[in-house]
Amino acid sequence: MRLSCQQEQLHRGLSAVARAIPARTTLPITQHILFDASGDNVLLSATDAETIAITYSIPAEIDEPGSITMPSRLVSDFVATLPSETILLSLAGRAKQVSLSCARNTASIGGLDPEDFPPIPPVDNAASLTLDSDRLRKAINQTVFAAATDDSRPVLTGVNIEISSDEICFAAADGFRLSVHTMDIQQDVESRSVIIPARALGELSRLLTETSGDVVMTFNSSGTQVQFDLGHAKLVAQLIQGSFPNYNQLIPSDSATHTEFSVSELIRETRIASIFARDGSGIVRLVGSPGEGNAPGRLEITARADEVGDNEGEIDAIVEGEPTQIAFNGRYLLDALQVMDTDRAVIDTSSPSSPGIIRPVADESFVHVVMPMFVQW
Amino acid sequence: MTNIVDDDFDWHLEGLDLATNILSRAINHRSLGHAYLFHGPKSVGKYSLAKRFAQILVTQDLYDGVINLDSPEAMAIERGEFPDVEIISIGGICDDSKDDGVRSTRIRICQIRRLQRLAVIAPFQAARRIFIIDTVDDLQIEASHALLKLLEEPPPNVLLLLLVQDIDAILPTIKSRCQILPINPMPKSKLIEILERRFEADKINAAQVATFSRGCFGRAMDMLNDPSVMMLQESVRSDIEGLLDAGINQRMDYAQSLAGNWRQERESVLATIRIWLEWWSDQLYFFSRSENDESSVNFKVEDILTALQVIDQTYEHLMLNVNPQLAIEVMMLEMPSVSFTNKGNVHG
Repeated sequence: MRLSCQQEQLHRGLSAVARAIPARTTLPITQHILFDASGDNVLLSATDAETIAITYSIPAEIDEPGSITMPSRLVSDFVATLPSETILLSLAGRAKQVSLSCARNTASIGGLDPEDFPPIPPVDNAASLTLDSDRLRKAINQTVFAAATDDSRPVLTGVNIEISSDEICFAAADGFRLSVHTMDIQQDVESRSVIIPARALGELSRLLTETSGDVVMTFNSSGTQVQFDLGHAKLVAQLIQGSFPNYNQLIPSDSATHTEFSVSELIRETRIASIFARDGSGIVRLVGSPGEGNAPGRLEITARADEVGDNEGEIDAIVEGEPTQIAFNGRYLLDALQVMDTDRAVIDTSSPSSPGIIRPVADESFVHVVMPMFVQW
Repeated sequence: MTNIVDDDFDWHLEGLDLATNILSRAINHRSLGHAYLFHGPKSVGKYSLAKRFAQILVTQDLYDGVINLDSPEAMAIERGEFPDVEIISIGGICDDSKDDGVRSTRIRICQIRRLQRLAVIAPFQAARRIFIIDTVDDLQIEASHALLKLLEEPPPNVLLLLLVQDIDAILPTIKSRCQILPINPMPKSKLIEILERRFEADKINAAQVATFSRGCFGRAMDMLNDPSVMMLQESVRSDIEGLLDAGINQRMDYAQSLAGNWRQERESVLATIRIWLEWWSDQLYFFSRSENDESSVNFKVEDILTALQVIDQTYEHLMLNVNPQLAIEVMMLEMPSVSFTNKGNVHG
């Protein structure tokens, strides 16, 4: 194998695939990145041999095709610190020692037999659909944060994706909150419902920031894998087996109070309240009062920690219906508000013990349900 | 290479015919359970059986029904480096970054939590994920309960192979959720025959190895491959015989020297205690065989039972991290003091 490529490109490729490498593993070779040179590209691959595999193709001048693996940490750190020039990479015959040179640096890195690298699962063309990368990224970002991080209910560690003929519904829940994003599609696809590990979607979202084209989502025929093809990069995720709880019944259909507010203002006030809430179980209280006469409605945001101090903030709001009071975990509230991409949003509440429903104004695609905290008023 | 696991199919395992026949039938009829429990003494072949079972299932899936034990995947399983076959044993990894498990003496709950996480993810390469728990005896009690949860609601495409040494010591609820396959040691004559066929070992050596390994093929192999294992057997046995009528000082010296090895060579101390246990169970066996034949009886049955009880308790104490010197000293003090002449039973 002998090739040359640009430092920035190799660096970008290595950092993209290295995200798949597991922190701890039983398979030492998963700490390596596979380099496969052919045609006029080098294909970099990494996998944790559990949930995800990422491949990334970078342009290169290939003098002699071939493949080898190299330890990820070593090669990534080395390439990251090199100057932005051409890197020459060569591997003599059947040896496993790769020599790299760039500007006035030369290095030699010991690799492993590429045959031993876990094969990146091939996803045959069973069913695929094309999605816009920006819309996909928005759908992921609005749901993935709500997935559970502990493994006591494994299906909740993923994002449920339900595909029907005219829409795709992304949903994640962890028992305290539920986030649902619905995306319209006009494609003739088979209906199906799958659960994709949240970690894989998080990595996909990261990859999507550097692309603006279409993404092709493909499922394999046995329904165990999904592949996202971004053109230069591919991400394959193993699906979570099991059935996702029926969440539609968790979204209340009516409410006693409808409060419309400015997202940025509520984010600011929630942040302030959270500072005081740190010592008080994260409890942030919202009290909404409808406007009287010419006075506008208002939403009070308060937090208190016994023996430490308390805080009261207030923002203007359009409060329709009964006066309302409800308490939430400040972090959950912030998580939901931060993924809104509209200036104004609404929160629907019924009582201090029933869930709050947060959604953007004039955007039907996103709904977030958050359970209240029980407090003494 | 073959695609049927029929009666002629060779699992390349010695003395496990009963278990391999049952598993062959399950493979052929495509009626695999979700969890199997292999139980039998240490080194009897449970782990080899579990790995071979995994190799057969995985290669069958990957090569259109053809079993290929020489394939790269089968080799990777042999080395413990195949993505969909994971072995859970003491000191293994888990997802908790603060817990490296280097000093643990049990299978931790975080290892089982990792298993739970992986079990619901679709297999990476093969048609199912296979987890080998080596052994269930080593599970922390919390870990057993976590495992139970998985056994109660097994995810699809998962096969659990539970290896157990002492079937009576594990949770009955775990037992009841698995298909149980006893893996028995083979008769001494059969092991001798196998050893002679495979190694051309001279007869006396084969007989002695077969006796000391108590019908466990793995142990016999250890003894043949590593002369120190055999030497340990011989030296411990002669220590035991020497200490039977020895005075208190000599016994205390023995306790001190054995306990002194605990920090560095925990496993070998435990192996020594196991040899003590075996030696005394041999005496019980000889006793039961020699009814009405006073001449071949070395001990009174009460002495044998006391000794067995004391050793068993010591082993348990050591596993519970009791001060090793105290534990072994107590064992020495409570060990019956009797005169003994080797009547040739042991090596017979």
